[in-house]
Amino acid sequence: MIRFTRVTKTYPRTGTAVQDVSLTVNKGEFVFLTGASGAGKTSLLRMVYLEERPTSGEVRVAGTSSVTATARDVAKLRRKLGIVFQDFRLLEHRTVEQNVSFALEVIGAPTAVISGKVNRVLTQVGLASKGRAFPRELSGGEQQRVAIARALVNDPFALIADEPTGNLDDRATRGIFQLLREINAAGTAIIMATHNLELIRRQEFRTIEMARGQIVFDSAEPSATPKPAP
Amino acid sequence: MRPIRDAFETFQRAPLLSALSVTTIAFSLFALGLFGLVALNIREALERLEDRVEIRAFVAEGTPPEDLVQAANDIATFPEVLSADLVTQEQALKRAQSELGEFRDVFEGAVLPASIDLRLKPGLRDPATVKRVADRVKTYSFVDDVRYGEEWIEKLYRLRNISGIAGLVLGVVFAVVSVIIIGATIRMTVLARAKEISIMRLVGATDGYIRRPFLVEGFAKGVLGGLLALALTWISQTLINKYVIHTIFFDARVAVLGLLFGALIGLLGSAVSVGRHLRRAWWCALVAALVLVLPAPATAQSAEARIRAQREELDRIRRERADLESRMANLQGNVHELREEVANLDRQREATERVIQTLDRQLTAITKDVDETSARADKAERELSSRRTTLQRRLVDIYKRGPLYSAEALLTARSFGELVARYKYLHELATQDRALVARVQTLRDQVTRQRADLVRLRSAVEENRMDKQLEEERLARLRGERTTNLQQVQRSAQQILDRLAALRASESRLTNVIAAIESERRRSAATRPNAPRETSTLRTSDLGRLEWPVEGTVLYRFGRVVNPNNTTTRWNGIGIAAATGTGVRAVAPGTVVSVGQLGTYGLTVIVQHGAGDYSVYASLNSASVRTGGAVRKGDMIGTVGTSDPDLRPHLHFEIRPQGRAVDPESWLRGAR
Repeated sequence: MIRFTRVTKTYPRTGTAVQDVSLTVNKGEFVFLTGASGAGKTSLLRMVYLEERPTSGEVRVAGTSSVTATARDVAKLRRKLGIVFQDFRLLEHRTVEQNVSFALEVIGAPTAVISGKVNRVLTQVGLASKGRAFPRELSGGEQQRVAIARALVNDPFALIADEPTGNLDDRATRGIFQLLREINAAGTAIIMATHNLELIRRQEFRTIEMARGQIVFDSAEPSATPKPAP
Repeated sequence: MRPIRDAFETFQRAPLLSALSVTTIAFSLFALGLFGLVALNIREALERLEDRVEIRAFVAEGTPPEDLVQAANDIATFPEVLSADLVTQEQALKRAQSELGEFRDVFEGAVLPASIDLRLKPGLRDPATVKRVADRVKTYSFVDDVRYGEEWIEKLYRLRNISGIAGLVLGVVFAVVSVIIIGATIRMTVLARAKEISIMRLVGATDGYIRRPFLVEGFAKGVLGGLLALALTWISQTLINKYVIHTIFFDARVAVLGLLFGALIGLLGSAVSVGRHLRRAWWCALVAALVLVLPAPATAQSAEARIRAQREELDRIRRERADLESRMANLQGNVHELREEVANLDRQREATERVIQTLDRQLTAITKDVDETSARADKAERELSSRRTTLQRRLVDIYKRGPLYSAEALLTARSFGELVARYKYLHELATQDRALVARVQTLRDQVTRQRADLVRLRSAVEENRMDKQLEEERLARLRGERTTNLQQVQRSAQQILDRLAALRASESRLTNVIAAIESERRRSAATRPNAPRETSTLRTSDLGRLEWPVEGTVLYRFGRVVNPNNTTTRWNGIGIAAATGTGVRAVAPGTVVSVGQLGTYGLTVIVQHGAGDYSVYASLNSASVRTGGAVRKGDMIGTVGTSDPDLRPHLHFEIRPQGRAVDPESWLRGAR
């Protein structure tokens, strides 16, 4: 479903971010992506939602190839992906509901279905009661929930989360992780970049570690070096 | 619907920013609009000039009107020609007077050539076409001159091209600058929504979808800015119209186009700005600066004075001569002094010669004056005709240049200073032309005056010629007279000498005769000594009492007389002038002792009055007494006759007491 084939990404100024990465993520998988800062995690993720195109190699996501995809193809692909960031990226002058519905509106969803979907997804993330609040009135964890709700409202097949808990305290982190697990349970694949090793250690999920742009460890690979003991 | 709602929402959400961007658009479009107005007005002005492009084919004089009409119809069928009108000489004059009002007076009475005036179809007024048509028109035999202002047409076209190119470049520059400014302001609104855009992109909104509200916003801002710019431009143009010069405004079509252009710029600016966000393309703004280098008698009086002076001299000489003449008459009347007469004659001759000389000089002077005046009149006449020709030529030239004269002056000027100078030159030219006319008038007057002078001088010359002729005749007569006189004087000198000799001979004969008579009387007295002593009838008491033997004027007196030829004659008696045949009476009683011819005395009667006293009556025509006869006092002796051919008929009368001659006048009564 998501396949990297010998993908290398080189930036003109900063040099190689991702080097010769081949990787497959299957439907409904939960994948942790770890590694030190600057290891190439974010670049990898950006190539998943085709914000970046690889310098060489190919990224295929749900049948869309990085080699042939048009801007329109990219937009369409993103409607089937949910993307969450460390900094939430919410619209400050819009309410929670509006922030979520915005994602539907901008892809031209029929007005009739919007509010139903919004309500359902807000319920799902546990913010049904805060639909009319503005982001600044919410806590960090809540804000990230809103962001997740926005990511989920289109029923994506995969959720890409780049350090979703980076700005959150432990409690909130746990809350968000819990939410993500729930979402994964509903069949949505999740790729989550994090350096919260503790979080990873407690889980049995697939973990991919990157260093200097390369995958140095993949728990799904048989040849992989043994995972640290739980 | 949604993009419009979104755009509207943007206005609502950021009114200040929106107002700012609308204002910015408005002002950049206003600048563009002002430039457009300038360009439009320049083009309009040039088109109006171009509309005056005209070919005038001037026709030789004396071409039959039917030929002209046919030629005009012919020319009208040329493909480039819009119209071909025939302008007759009268129409040309009328047109010249109305088109060049400033020169109206100069055109008075001028003959201007007839012409065929061609107007070309719009779009076919470029220099090449104009020249081609002009050349074709030139092929008509009676067309003498074709004028179409080639220099300025080329300049007009160059100016048009320059203004076209400059307009295009400036327009593009203004438009690009407008786009950049408008783009920048729109970009501000785009930046304000950068996050929104990134989220939209993240959740899979298509680029078009994201772009649309921005485009609508840009369009709306463009239209609003455009409307505002249009309003500002209109207000500016109205103010310029009111206070500066008359200009024209964009028509509705151009105004709508302007609005659309504003909207388009809004759209473009938005598209560029949003595009930056969507594709992260970097644009370089290029600002080009464009430096625009825009880049002219009377000598008759003295002659008259001279003539007057000469006339005065002439009058003086004539007066002098009249004096001489009267003195001459006097001389001739009183003393028959031939020498003086001759001297007088000489003086008269001299005076007459001086008159003639003066007349000659005057004639020369007058002739010279006449020649000078004639020459001056000729010169003035020639100058007049040349001035007339010059003026005529200039008139025709001015007319031929036609109403484009000022346009040409405007277009061929290189700088504003030169333009001003040209206006001044035009003015000076007009002034000079007028001065030329005035000069011609003055010359004409002068010629007329000099002609009158000439006539007057000619009559003066004629008069003087007649005077001269009269004087010459007079001189000839005087010369003749003088010659006669001289001959007479020379002849009479000889005659007088002869006569003197004759007179002396006659005198001595007379004396002898009387002496013989006396001696005989004495002898007879001696033979009769007792005879009573005779007493003379001429008594001394009779002195101054005797009657004149004949009445008349004294021709010569007793004694010495100096003749003109410097000889002297001594008369023993007096000559009393009287007509031939006048009776001569005895002055006292006595006896006739002798009757007969006696030399130059002619027929002479001698009467003895006794005691040796005698009276002599000579130069008689006839004698009525005989020798020996007695006469009483007052008896008729004979008649007056002529003895000397040089003298008038007269009586020579002597009284000789005791045989010696005395002055008879002392004996006669009332000596005169």
